[in-house]
Amino acid sequence: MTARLNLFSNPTTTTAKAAGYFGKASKTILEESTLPAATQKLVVLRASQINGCGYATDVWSKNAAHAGESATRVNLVAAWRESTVFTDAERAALELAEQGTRIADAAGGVTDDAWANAAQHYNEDQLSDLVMLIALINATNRMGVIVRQRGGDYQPGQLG
Amino acid sequence: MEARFDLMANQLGAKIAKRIYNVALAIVQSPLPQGTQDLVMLRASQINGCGFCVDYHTKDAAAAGEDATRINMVAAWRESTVYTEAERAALALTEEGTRLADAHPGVSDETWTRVREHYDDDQIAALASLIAMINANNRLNVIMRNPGGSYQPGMFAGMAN
Repeated sequence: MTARLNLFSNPTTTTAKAAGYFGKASKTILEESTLPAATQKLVVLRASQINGCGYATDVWSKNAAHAGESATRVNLVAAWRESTVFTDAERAALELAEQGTRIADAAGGVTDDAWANAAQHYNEDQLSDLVMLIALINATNRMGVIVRQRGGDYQPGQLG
Repeated sequence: MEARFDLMANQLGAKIAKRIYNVALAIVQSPLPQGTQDLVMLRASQINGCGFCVDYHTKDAAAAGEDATRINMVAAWRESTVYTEAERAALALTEEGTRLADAHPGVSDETWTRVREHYDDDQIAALASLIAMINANNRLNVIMRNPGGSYQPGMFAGMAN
């Protein structure tokens, strides 16, 4: 099952140039942020599940497992609220990820409670990085779903 | 994080739980493929945010030999290459049969036709019952706030009649 369109096949296009910047932006957060790497993976996996993005769900569940995350924690991300295996800090990040992802059609945005809870666990730099990360993965999910880039055959290490 | 209420510690609760378990067993023993049953139960449990059931059915699926990629992709199955057309029809029915609340239009004729193409009457009886039962179990565990994380495959085997 191939995608409807390969966004990055021609390296001379405007899209390929923009994708280069986009990739660097994502990489900067993933590699340089003091936000724990495991938390970042939980956040991007949860957003990708909500958006039904097969490609990113495949990438981030495999990257998490490859980085040593337990199968139980990877599997429970979709029902993290009713789970014992995430820390309060991770739960705060996941709450922000859910609310920041489900913003469509006057949903009400991110609550003061969710924001205050995240601010208790992360400093300003980490909070900024978290906001960027949630924004970037939501953009990535849209690209994946619009061109129908399906998940299933990602190999850990191909990306980030 | 402890459950609000231990159903099994209450005599009536334990009796009801045992009967629910034995209904589930009748479905398990149906001709609906076990791998499909695990996918269906996992998807409904994800939508309902039931940690206990997500933990239960991901671990049971893995114990039965299901591939980690197929377990991890269930939440985004539509945009995945790893499920058969029959499994995709069952997952579509699961989603529509789970998201019923508040004037939702219910299960579409299109989805039902797809399910009919892939499953016979016995399998459809099992599939519809399975979707109903997992939604009931999800409610039970979310209401009790029974959290996921510590399930061990096989731990409820003693509840069979």
